[in-house]
Amino acid sequence: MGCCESCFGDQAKDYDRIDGPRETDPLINPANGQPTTQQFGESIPQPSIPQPKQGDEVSALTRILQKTASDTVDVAATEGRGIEQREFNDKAKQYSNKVNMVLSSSGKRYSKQSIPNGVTAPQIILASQPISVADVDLISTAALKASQALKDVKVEHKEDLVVPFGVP
Amino acid sequence: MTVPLDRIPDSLGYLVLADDGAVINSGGDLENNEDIAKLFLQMVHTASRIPLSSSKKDKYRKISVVWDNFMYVITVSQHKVFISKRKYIPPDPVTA
Repeated sequence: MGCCESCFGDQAKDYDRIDGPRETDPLINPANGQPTTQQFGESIPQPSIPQPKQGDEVSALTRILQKTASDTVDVAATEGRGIEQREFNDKAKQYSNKVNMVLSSSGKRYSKQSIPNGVTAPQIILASQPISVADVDLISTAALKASQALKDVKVEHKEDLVVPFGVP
Repeated sequence: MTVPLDRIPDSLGYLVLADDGAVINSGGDLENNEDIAKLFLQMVHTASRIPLSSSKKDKYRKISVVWDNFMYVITVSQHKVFISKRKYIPPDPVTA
């Protein structure tokens, strides 16, 4: 928490320093053939460099790098050590138990919809004779009648659902 | 265990699904047809909830989805869904 506060605290200050008038400076100075050997975190330009501006740029760059490195949480490095399969299964079980506990108290239940075990020889069932036309007709008629019946369901008004109670 | 689904008579295509709907095997008209696989899985789940008799152990063996000239035959085995698309040739003449 302290780290975050300090990061955000001086953020504006940092950017002010970086995005100052140096924005217009050339990134590569052709007059300077010296390779950039600035180390991480060095902010003072080397006295041997004839153009001190480049040293500033490099230090600004390293500062950005350093800041980014300190701001970034490397998830892969901290947690990517690989969970054992057994541990993974244990955790999965633990979490699903917790989910079920919460859901059971709220009246719902989490359960994976499972399909029945079914038949032993599917190819025989699939290759069997198709159902007869009479059966198809029977189901079609029944479905048609059911849908018609559903359409015909009407609400008949008998009495008020909301009645005044205790009103003089 | 491999089921010879391509040797089913009048077969036009087939699909084998895992119980989460993933396509395990497919061929013919239904090759890699994941959209229709989802629909079939929903039908299987719905059908599983329909009681066939007073005994809860009774489950359907076969779902037929019949169109004018083809049909889908669906069955479940070993927690896998097998779907076959076949030509629909009525077994008996229409007796009106």
